[in-house]
Amino acid sequence: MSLQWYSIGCYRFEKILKSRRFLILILLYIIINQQYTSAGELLFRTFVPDYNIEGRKITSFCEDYRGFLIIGTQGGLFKFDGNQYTPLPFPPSMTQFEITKIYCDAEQRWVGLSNGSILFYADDLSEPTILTTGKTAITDIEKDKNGLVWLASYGDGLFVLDNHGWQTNIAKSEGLTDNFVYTLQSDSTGWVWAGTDAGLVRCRIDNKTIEIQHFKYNNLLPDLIIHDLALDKKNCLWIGFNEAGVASYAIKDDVFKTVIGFDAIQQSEIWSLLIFENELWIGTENGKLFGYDIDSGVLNEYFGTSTNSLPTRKLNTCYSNLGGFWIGDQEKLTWTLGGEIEYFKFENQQPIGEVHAILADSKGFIWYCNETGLFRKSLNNSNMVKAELMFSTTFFKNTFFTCLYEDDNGLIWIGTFDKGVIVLNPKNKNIRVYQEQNGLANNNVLSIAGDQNFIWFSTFGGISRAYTTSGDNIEFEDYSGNSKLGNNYIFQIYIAPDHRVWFATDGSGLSYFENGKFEQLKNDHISKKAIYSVTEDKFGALWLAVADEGVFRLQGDSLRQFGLSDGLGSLSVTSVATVGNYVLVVNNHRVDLINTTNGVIVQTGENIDIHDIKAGLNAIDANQHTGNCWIGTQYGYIRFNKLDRIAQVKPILNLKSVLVNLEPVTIGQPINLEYNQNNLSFDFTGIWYPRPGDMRFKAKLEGQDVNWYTTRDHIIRYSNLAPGKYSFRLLDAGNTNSSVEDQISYNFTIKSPIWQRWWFILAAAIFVLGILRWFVHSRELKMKTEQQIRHEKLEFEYSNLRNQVNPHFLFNSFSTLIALIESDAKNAVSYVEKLSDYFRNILQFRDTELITLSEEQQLLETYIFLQKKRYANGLQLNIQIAEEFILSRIPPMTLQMLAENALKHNVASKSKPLLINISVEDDFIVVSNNLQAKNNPEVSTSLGLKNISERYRLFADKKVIVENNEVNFVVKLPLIQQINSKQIQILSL
Amino acid sequence: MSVCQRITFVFIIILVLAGKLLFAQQSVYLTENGMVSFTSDAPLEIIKAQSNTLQGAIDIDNQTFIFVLVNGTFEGFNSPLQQEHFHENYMESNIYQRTTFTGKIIEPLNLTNGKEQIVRAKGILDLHGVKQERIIKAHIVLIGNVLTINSIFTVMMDDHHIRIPKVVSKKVAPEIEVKINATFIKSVAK
Repeated sequence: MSLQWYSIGCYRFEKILKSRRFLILILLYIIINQQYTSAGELLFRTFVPDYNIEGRKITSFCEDYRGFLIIGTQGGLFKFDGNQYTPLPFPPSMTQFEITKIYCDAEQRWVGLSNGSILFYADDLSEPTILTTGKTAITDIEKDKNGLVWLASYGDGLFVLDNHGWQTNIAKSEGLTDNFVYTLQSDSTGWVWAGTDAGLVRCRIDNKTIEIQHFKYNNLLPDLIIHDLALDKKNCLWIGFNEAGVASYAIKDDVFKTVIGFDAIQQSEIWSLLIFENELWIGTENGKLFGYDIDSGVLNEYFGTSTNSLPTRKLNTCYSNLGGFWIGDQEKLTWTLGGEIEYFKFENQQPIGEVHAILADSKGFIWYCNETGLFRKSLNNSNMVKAELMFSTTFFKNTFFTCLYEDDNGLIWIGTFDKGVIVLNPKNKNIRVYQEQNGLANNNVLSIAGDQNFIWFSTFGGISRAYTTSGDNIEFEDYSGNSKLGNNYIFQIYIAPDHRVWFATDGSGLSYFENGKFEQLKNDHISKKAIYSVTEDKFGALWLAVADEGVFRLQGDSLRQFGLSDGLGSLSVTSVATVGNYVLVVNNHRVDLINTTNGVIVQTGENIDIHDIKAGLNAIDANQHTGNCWIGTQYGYIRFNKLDRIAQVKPILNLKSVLVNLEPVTIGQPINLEYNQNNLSFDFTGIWYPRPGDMRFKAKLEGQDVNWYTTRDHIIRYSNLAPGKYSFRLLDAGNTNSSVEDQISYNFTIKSPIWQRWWFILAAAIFVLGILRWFVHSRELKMKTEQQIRHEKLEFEYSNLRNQVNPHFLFNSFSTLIALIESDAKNAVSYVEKLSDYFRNILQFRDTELITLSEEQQLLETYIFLQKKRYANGLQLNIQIAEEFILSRIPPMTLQMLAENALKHNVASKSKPLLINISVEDDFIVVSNNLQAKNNPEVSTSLGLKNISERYRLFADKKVIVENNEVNFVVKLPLIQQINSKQIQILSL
Repeated sequence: MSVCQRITFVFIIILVLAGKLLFAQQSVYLTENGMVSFTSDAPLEIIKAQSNTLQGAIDIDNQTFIFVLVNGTFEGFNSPLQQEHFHENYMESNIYQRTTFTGKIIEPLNLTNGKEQIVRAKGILDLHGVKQERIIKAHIVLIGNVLTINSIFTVMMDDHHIRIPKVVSKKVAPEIEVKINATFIKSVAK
């Protein structure tokens, strides 16, 4: 439709249209003529706790040093990390009281209650300790320069504590103006300032002496009720009143000055003050939020958006460790960066279509143009002031405006399509028009930039330069067709801080003008590209918006491309500009910020509702002097102010808990774990209030993982870890340049199982060797014993054999036999029979180890029969063995040998008969004989008795008892009832 | 005013100002017939009522005050039924018999004869059993021995847990305008 009009008579323009790269001409909306703007919307994020804190109202909040927001309600304390509200232990006796103040220092959290109690929380898990002050609510807690803790109460004055528990009360009786204290503020000189119902007080304690000074009406204090105090960097105290706005008090000058009047803040009662950078933030009782720039004295009111509304009543504020601050009321909490990025929206919310150009001039006006025309609007008192339509597009017979520039004289240069350049004097609204006939290369202007009395114009016909000394005599120089420029289609002229003039060409890369000469930037990668926009950052690197290829960073020969994978919103970038540490990258939908120090891309979209902005090629105005950059959108305009702070804002990582085999362990010290304590889980949080849901982590378990693992989870588990040294490391995935302080690392060691440790192996080897040695030894011992047994046996057999062939016995027996044969032949036969029995028995039992007692008895009786023939009644044998014992065992010839012994050592005669008694008593076979020693006894070898003892020891492991009591000689042989395995073993040898 | 109420009132005054009455009685001003009126300006109905039995005491030296109003004394409603509803459904005058406002005066009083001063009275407003801290502006003027106080302020029904049923939400305003006009007489020295 109307597009045709612009292309008439301009084939070059048609060519550009065909190239489809030209973004200026997409015009969409029918426009209303007048726009209202309000003050800016902040970069912020609102949290509505809702049921998460059990339906209670928020009565106080404070962020602790680890970045957790501690939220107090009636009878409950909660910890918030951006995602979760975790209740903290709260004493049951205190649940009916409200938490009226929370204060966090590096060691603990102080919680003041409405009944005057203070709870100290050293950690999240243990119950707090309770301190009681007065009976009225604690309204503020503050540490002074000397480390004393001051408590303000609402009815009991002040309380002061030191480390040693010393506590003192400063109330009306001590000279305080009033016992109702709202707020405390300590300064660098050791004073603590208190705002009360009866003016301002400052107190100081030196060596336990209290010093108090009052400030009242006579000190020109505008109001007596002081709700909040704040101290700025220049040691100036800011005082918020009940009905007198805000006053400042320069401590060194001792002067009160009302800075913000009651009417300026719409007669609102000040509720809280907070100094953030150079801005004083004011929250009021009726829910208004103001920002007062301390340097410039500009007061702004801030609003929320329909989707992201600000708290509305009794606004409290507190600092955030992330770099911003909090605003909150009883219902919700808002985290904000302050006025670093502000969106000034048209009040009626109607989009005005693509903004072609924007300009913030030196007089405090913002100029912008769209399809309807050119508008101007005052930035001061921007509320309710209408935008002024300077020229409608119909003014010059349907032209439209493409670019804006303010020269050093305050004249506004307006580039148009088909009508050349219009120069407007804002003071008298006089205009001049320069066209081809005045020396301009072409009447279609794409870009204007100026520097030191020169103004550069990019037209469809090439580059022109104007020299503006004074007055109306503008001379144009025509540089069109310069071969070094590459081509005549220049999208943007950019003047770098070093006054080099850059030209972003359509298909010929970058050219520049320096020392009166044009040069083409030599870089093979970009020399054939269409570049929409160029800017230079503070490190001297060039940033290029390349058609459909995103953004390139060029420093010397090093070229880096930023694309979608780096976080860029779109590859169709319309413009780039430098603000502080950032390069703004504008596309049709949103604005991305690339941090020039580390290349991290910050998206601004969600936080302040920046979307669908439709900014034209020139809808950006970066002012190198003020550090501000303005971007015009179809809903309003965005101001990026210096952007120093956003660079410092980064998530705070916290390791919440470490579980070993599902059991929590204390975090802090490296730990040593047993081999089977090898299932670990790490629970962590990244506090990132601007976009808590988008927090991504990079984690790595050194000792196990080779690569970093990127996750959104808040728990990582490792199971069945092998023994070794490990270090769990966690960092923010969004920060590629994170320092050691930004990281979390947790070291632990899993010990080898006990059987894999050197000392265990050594001990085990020693043990095995010991066993082996013992085995060998015992085997040797056993063999020795066996040998001994064999030896004993041989010896016994030998001794028996010797006995058997005892010549005396034989001699005596034969003598007896001779006597018998002569006297009693019949008895002689039986005698020989017995003798024969005796020897047969000896032969029979010789190889037997044990025989029955009856067999032995028989043997003994045979022997006694033989001997009786010789001794007659001089030898008497009396055997009394019960039936039950006759089958018990005995080594052969034991009894016979004992009897033989008795005969050998004792007299056996008619007058002194030798009595041998054999009986069984108490498991013993008792062999006794009366003792009547021979006068010349036979030489005793004691071999017999010893032999018996040995045999009993070996075969039965029993002891033979020998008693010699000078009357009787008694031998007690243990009964061997049955044959056990040991005996069998030995017997079988 | 019944004898019982009078005794209660005197008793409260004595409690609050006991010491001051004995030693610095000069500075205490009393009233027993102050005027309190309220207006509920709702879209469908304007309700007005008034009571002339506001009791109060102001201690000029210590800048403290107390006001007591028996809720049952409001009259001048549009109809007797309205009065009944007021006492039974909203004020619950049987349960919460008195409304009190006690506290201190912020601005230092400088009562030269006949010169009006605007002060802020800060205290606890105990109404319908709910205590709210309020800062209320008042005009105060001393002529001879007579101290006159005028004040207009608003009371939010919701702040004092007075619920308005939806059916009558267009007949009862959520914000009630209250006017006070009371003349105090210096207490007689003994």
